[in-house]
Amino acid sequence: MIEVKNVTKTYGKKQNVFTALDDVTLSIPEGTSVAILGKSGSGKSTLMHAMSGLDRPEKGEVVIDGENILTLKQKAVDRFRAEKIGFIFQSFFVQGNESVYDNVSMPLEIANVSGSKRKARVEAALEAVELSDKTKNKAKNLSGGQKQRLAIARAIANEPSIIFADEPTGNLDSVTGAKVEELLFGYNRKKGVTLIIVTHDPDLASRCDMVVSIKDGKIESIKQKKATVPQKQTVKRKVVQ
Amino acid sequence: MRTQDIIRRAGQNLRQAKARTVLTSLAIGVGAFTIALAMAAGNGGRNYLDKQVSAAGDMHTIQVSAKQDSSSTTDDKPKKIGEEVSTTQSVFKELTPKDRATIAGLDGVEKVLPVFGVDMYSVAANGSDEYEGYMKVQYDGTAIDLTTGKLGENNEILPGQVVLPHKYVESFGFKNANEAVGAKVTAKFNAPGGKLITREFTIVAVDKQPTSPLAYYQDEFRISNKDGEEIAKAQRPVGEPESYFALMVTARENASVDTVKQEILNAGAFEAMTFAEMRTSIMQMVNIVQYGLMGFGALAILASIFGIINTQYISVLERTQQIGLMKALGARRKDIGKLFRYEAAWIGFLGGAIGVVLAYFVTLLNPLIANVLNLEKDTALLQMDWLLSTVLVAGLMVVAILSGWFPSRKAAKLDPIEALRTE
Repeated sequence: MIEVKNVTKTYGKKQNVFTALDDVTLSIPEGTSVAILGKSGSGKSTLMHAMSGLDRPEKGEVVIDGENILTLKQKAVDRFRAEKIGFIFQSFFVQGNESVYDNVSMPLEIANVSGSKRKARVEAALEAVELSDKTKNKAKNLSGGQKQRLAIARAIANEPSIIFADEPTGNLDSVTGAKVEELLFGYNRKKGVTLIIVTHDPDLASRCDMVVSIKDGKIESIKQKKATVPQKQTVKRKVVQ
Repeated sequence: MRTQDIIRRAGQNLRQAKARTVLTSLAIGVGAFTIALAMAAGNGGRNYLDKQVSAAGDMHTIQVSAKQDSSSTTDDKPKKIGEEVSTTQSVFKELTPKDRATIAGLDGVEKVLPVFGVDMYSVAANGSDEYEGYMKVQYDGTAIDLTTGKLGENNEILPGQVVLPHKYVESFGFKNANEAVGAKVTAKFNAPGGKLITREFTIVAVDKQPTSPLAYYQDEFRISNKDGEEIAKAQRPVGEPESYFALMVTARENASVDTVKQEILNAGAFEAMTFAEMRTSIMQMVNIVQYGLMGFGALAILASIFGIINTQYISVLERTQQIGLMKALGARRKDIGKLFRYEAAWIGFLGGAIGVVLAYFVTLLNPLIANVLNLEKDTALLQMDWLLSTVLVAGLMVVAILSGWFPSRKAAKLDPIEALRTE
């Protein structure tokens, strides 16, 4: 469960102040797929940053599994991200000079996963995105679609409970984009992982259980496809101190 | 992140920028090379000197001679035409039995060995003409470089034996040095009343010019101390007390040589020199050379520090996106800082290793150096000090880490949101 309560984020000072998020409140049940829909500059990325603990809005609360991550110490927030969150970016951010394996292993190393577990998880993640045969390739030699699949493998390697995807198909053609969408929604359904997609593409948004439209830092509407919300009962993992 | 993972990733990152890594570490390598070589030279030089000096005498030995009257030197003012030049040649003052007794009575003195001066009038061998020559008493175990022949244990010359200076081989009509060994030498000495006394010696060995440039060498016929004592006695006018060229004083095992030396100096008009002092004075030169070289090396390393800082700053700029991603994935500031510091440490290690290995290659040229400097064949003037070299490499890693401090801080402080906002 992610609860965003009265979050306000401003940039700049005095006359130049710009309100990126203005008193945003929403609640996302566990296992839901959510689209945060808005034009560029609407504040949708800022909302994602706030929910993932990358950014610290000055007002409001972001409560994840009962813990307000905005009041956590930096160390705890970092650990929260390492253990509970997966990221997928529009421009992939795969490390071209590293092997496919090392790219996926990175978040596991950051989360201090032991060597033996690490190998199994990397292999499982690569299996899930059908990149097992590319393990030893350099990431820069992959195609765009493969890179994004690699990014997905990296995001799911540490078995997060929330995946943030920032325009995951923005740099892909429609065919490869569709495949990436398939992977994301498939993983969301199969593992009951909360999937939060930031996009300006209404078609992609329409595939989600919940669509949060955002404009000028304010929530315009929250639409929910009630029937499809899978209320999977997972054991709640306590957020680290 | 685990330290081992960070170290591995640091190494990987450096491999991805091979040229830059190698160039940066080469700069350190130059300094490391100079320092390692300086240490090798100091090490080798000290060992070489130790060998030379221990061959020259015991560390417990003090050579004592009478204090020479310095006022007797002729004044060196310009002389007028017709002015009588007073050639007051300084007479070498010798030590007396009283001096000997005084020194023998001092605390810390184990034994006193007199060294007699003998005054040879002429020398001949093999039926040759009579030649001038100097005779010296071999009073200690000083090593003598020999062309041929063999001395007793501790370089001892037995009574009745003589070591022939190599320059006399030809003059005496020997075909070569080997032929001279075993032959007889007839020496004549001045005696009181204008008489000459004659003695015969058997050539036990032929010396040679020492290869070491540090060794002092004179063409001298060297005989045993016992023979020297006898000849000196015979040369002495009747009624005159014994006199000694020098006294070799051996300090007690448990007494400090320097203290004993000071006692001797306080006891009378003596000059005293310990072998340890000789060693120290030469060693000082070696040290000056070594520290001078090390200074240059340190300067080179100082210059390379800026290279590391520059490289690491560029690296941080280039890898903004990687740093941002790692931070987004939950990497802590500490981890990122460590990553860049370990990279710097790798550079320092690489540079140090390059320098030390290069220095090692230079030490392989030892035979060539010995040859050029005309030293003994197996002299190794450059000797790697592996322990200090390891310390050097470790030190360079620390220096590199310190130079990488600011760049690593910059990396650690990067805001992941900014870092990932590429477009």
